[in-house]
Amino acid sequence: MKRVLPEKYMFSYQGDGDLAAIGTGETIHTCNRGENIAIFFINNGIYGMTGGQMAPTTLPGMKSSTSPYGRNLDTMGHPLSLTEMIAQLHGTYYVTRQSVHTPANIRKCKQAIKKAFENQKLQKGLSFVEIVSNCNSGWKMPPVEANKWMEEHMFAAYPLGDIKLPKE
Amino acid sequence: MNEEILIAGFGGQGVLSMGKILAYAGMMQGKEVCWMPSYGPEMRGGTANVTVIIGDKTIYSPILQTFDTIVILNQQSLIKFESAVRTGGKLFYDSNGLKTLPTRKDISIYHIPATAKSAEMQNLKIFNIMMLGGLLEKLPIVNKKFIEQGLYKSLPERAHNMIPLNMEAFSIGANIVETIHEI
Amino acid sequence: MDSNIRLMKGNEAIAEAAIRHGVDAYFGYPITPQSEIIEYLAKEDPFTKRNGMVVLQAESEIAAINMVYGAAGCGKKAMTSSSSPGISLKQEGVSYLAGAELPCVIVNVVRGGPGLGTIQPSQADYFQSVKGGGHGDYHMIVLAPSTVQEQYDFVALGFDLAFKYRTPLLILSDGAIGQMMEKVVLSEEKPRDNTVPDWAIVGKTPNRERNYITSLFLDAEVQENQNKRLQKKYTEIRQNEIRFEEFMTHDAEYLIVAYGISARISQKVVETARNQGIKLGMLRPITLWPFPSKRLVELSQQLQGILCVEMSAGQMVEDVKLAVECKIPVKHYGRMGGIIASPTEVFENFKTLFL
Repeated sequence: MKRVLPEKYMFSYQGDGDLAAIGTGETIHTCNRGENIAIFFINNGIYGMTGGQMAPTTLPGMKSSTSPYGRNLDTMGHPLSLTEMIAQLHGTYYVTRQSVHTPANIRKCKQAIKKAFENQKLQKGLSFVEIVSNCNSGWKMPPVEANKWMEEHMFAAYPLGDIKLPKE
Repeated sequence: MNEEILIAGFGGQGVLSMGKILAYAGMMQGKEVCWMPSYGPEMRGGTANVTVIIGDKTIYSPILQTFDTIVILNQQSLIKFESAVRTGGKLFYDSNGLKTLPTRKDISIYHIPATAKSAEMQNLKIFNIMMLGGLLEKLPIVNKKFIEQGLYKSLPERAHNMIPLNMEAFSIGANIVETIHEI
Repeated sequence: MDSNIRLMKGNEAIAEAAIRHGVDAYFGYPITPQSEIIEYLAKEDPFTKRNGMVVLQAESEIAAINMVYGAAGCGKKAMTSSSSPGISLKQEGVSYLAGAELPCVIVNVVRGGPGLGTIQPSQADYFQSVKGGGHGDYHMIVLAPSTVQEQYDFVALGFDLAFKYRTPLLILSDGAIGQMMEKVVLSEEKPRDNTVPDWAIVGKTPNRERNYITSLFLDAEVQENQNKRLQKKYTEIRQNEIRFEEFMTHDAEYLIVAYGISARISQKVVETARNQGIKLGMLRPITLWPFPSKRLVELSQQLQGILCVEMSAGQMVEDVKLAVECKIPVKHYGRMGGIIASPTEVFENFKTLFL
């Protein structure tokens, strides 16, 4: 879409399934080509929309409907951190990981999203914003508890902050 | 004969599990059973309904437009399904949350005030089994003892200590069902 | 009550059947309305808790079918399942399996399309299932269950046929049968069978020739010979494996042809028609490929018309027309995009079309 409508702003809004499982190849090569777009990646560690199945981002030991006894690293592999992987590619310009669970984090995340679009406007290349999120229904927790669990566990595996910053 | 039943209400009212308990009980009693849920986006907070067919004959279509018996648990379902009861059939409802009441004269109509009663007992979780008690009081298609066995089958083990309370609710349902109109 | 009689969802029945039949490996990826298959297998955890069956959630449908290719090449009983969009993704792999003559069972719990479509039931993948789907001249045996019991039974039947003919086999189900619960009589659990077929690749031993599993034959003549081999096999399957069920056809003047959930609906239509003195019967193809054309020809002698009931714009109706060579009127009725026609609706349309 960006190639045929270069004057338009383009962004994708993706989950851990299409970005880190089925679409891993496309994600890596889009980033590697440095397409001038913004990718927003919502990581809640589970396939929420289809009913709580294990995602590539599911944490070790974490329960889901397809890992009911917890993710077993020996048989189900390790959590995949695509954000760190694509930060190493020459084609990415700005890579960051944010969250939206407190007002302060929302402000930071807004800045990151704004920056992603500014980069696009300035033809800088690909910006990638991961937003670590919760899924209280998939995690089977009340929302407040889910936020707390996210802080304690998700942020340990997926630390917040900028991963690749543009050279000023 | 096969009894074709529809249970319709909100997602979260225990519509699907009410149907499941009924289907389990029917199977325990050696009958042919089929449980066909509506599924999809409407399940999330919207309306939910389930078709349960119980009988002695091979079950043909689990998809039906009209039913022998319909259990109505919310206003949308009343509007949508009152006309789907076959002439001479039965309609059960809980008046809680209903703005209008069923009006047909060619079917039997029963009221089960299960929401009010389960709220009085401070346990809304037993609402659906109370409805089931009322339903089976007027439509004795499965034996009560199989309902208890059905509960053991359909509930996870951690919930088995709740079964005596559920059976109490079932009996209460059978007592509180009111005949509005019978043909 | 007999512990081998259970109330199960159609999807769960497939999963339990896989374990009890001694399937070696399941590779899948979640997609509604069939995720219960992989969820049930994950919960049962047969690898550690039952008979050692491998269950793996792949990173995509494409990965899953390629894992099936690998395991099938090792002579193992391998299966995968998905729903329409995921089955489309698998088609390259299915063509490779057919080309390399590898047995496996693939389950499609069909949902409405095209595209990502809806999650409600449909039968619009008929063409894809019976006419190829992937590239090249190939067929899969296609079994169409119409009860939860058949969902269970067809896993064993499927593997028997797939291994007998060394061919991929498809169980073409739909969202309605996958989601509904019925009584299922389970078979005894079989241990997994460690017999290695003589064509499997398990490491060459000195006393035999090297086995090759490939679908690549660059020499056109060799490729044509491979095609001839396949066609010979398909002829044999057509001769031996056609399965169907008839319902009140003995004196029928009109016939419904329907499979899967539509056959269940149509049985009710036949019952209603009979109550009104209309001589309607039903033929339910159990194998959609090979198709029961011969029986249709025989029946057509006594018929005034055929109605195909499918949840599609009309796909199987083409095979029915081909079978009877349009000598009698053949009509179609169906809903699309996830809507299921009720028996009342089908009956009204039958009357409008024929009476």
